[in-house]
Amino acid sequence: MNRVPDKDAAVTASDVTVAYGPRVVQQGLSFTVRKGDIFIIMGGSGCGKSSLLRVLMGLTPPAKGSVYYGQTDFWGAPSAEREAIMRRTGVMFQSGALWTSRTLAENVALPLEYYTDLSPRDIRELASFKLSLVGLAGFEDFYPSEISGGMKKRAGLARALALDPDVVYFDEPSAGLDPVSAARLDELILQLRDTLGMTVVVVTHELASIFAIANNSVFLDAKTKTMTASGDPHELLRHGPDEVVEFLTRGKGRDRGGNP
Amino acid sequence: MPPAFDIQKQQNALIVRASGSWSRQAVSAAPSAPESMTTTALSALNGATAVRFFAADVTEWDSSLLAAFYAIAQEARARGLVVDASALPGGMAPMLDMALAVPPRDNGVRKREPGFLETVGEKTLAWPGITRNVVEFLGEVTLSVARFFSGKASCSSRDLWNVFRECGVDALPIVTLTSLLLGLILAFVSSMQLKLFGAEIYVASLVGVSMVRVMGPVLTGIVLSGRTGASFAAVIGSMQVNEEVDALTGFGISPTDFLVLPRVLGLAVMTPLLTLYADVAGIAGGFLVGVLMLDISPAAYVNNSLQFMTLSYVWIGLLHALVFGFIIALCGCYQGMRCGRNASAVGRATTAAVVNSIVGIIVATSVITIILTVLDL
Repeated sequence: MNRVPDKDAAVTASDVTVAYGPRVVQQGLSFTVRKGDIFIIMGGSGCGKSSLLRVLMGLTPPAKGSVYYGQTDFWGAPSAEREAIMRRTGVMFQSGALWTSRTLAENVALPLEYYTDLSPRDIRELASFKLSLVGLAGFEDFYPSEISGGMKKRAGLARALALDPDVVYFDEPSAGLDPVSAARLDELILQLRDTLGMTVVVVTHELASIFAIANNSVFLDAKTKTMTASGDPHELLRHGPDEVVEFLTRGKGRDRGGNP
Repeated sequence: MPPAFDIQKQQNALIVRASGSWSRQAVSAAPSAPESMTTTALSALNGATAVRFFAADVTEWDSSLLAAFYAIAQEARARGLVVDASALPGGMAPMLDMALAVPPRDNGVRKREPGFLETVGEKTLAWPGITRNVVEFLGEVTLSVARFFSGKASCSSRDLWNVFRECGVDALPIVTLTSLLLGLILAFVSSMQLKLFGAEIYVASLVGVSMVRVMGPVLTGIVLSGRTGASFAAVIGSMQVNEEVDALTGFGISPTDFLVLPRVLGLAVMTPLLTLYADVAGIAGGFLVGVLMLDISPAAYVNNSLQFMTLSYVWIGLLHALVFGFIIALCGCYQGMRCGRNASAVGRATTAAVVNSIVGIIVATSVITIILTVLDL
């Protein structure tokens, strides 16, 4: 299936195979993330969620298949166009991946310095604004080593938002956060989607998060090495295949005590 | 009471009765190690159809006892025997059941140690890949340098100044010390021979020419590869571990432009400058020995130094330094960029960066020397 996706598709995977060298992790992945979606990539540990994310965001090429941004075939495009697409995507890495030799403000400012001709003052103001969006006002001159893990994640989000991206990727946003901070991060993601109109792709296995924010999803199975279901997780809970329903119900009441 | 197994056969069942104290301390102090007991039990499995565990006479126990039971039960299971642990007291039975619940993976994850021939073969087969990586890296750096000089690659001036400071100014003390001492050593050693001919005065030109033409650049290169090349590899390597390099790529910022380019340019500028400084320090070392120990007058020393010095020696020295600067920066950055994602990989990358650049410096020196000899310079 190699048809070009329609107009309101933000990111489309078409028969993607994810592999580490000769070892295939996932294959036959086809799904579409629509503009404004909060799209969850879910599945048990070690099923290849994060590897798929690296393929989607353009860090590693897929072993087979294509990834479309809008109607552009990402890996088939010339490198200048690929860079332009990557500039319009933001990533919040699992551990934050902040540039440790720079302060938080400088972290947010770096992409702006690199791509815009704004004056240092304007850049500084923009950086402060992005940091305050994620609740880190006043932390501009702290180094990443001086703040907590949860703050690093939020600073990573502020940096992901630096260039006002169309698509933002989150790799395990709530991993290692306490329930309250995790729930707050979920709210933040919802707010940002509603106010900035971004498309959000989240890799997670936190059920509370999935039911709180998702309106579309794909379920990766570690055993069959392919996607076994896709769609709104609330729908999947009612009509999905057994293993997906089991995944979506088993942990209920165990994490965060949330009621989806 | 030391730990013990009593093994009996009743009809077709193997009865394993544990007794005594089965704590870790008691087990390690026991006269017969538990592994020998389990081995006995395992060899008794032949012909049995079931294994029953009893532990009524055990006075105290921890996981040492369960580990011994587990080893026997595991083997019994593999042979299709019935394992009956229901007679075990307290928490033993449920814990043993828990351990036996998931069968071990049989598609062996752990590879056996490769033999000598296999290692040689693997290393040989890895060569084309490594060569490809190196050529790709050199190509990327060349393109990046070209983009820089055509004004398309923005290499942040702040990073460039950082490199200037770190590998230039900060390296001054150690370069001063080492080249001053090298000058002293050269002067001492050469004076021992020259004294035989009463030609001590030539110590001056010998130290001067050898420092400027080759010793100064080589010494600076070796100091910088230990100091700066290693730090390049470690810094970029730990950025790789921390996903910081991915974060750059994620913004469409080329890591080569951003991390490698300033380091290569910075070192290409700083190595020749440091070399000039090292030349002066080395000559000063020779001067100290000549004036203070060989009773050469300061004026005569300076005169003799200048008499044999030509400008082309200085250029040759600077050419060496420029080449060394590139070698050190490229080795350090290459090892950092291809560093694996764990702490020991950073260590390996650092070591490889230093070793590669020192070998590179020596090889480059011989190549340049041969070429210059052929060209009669």
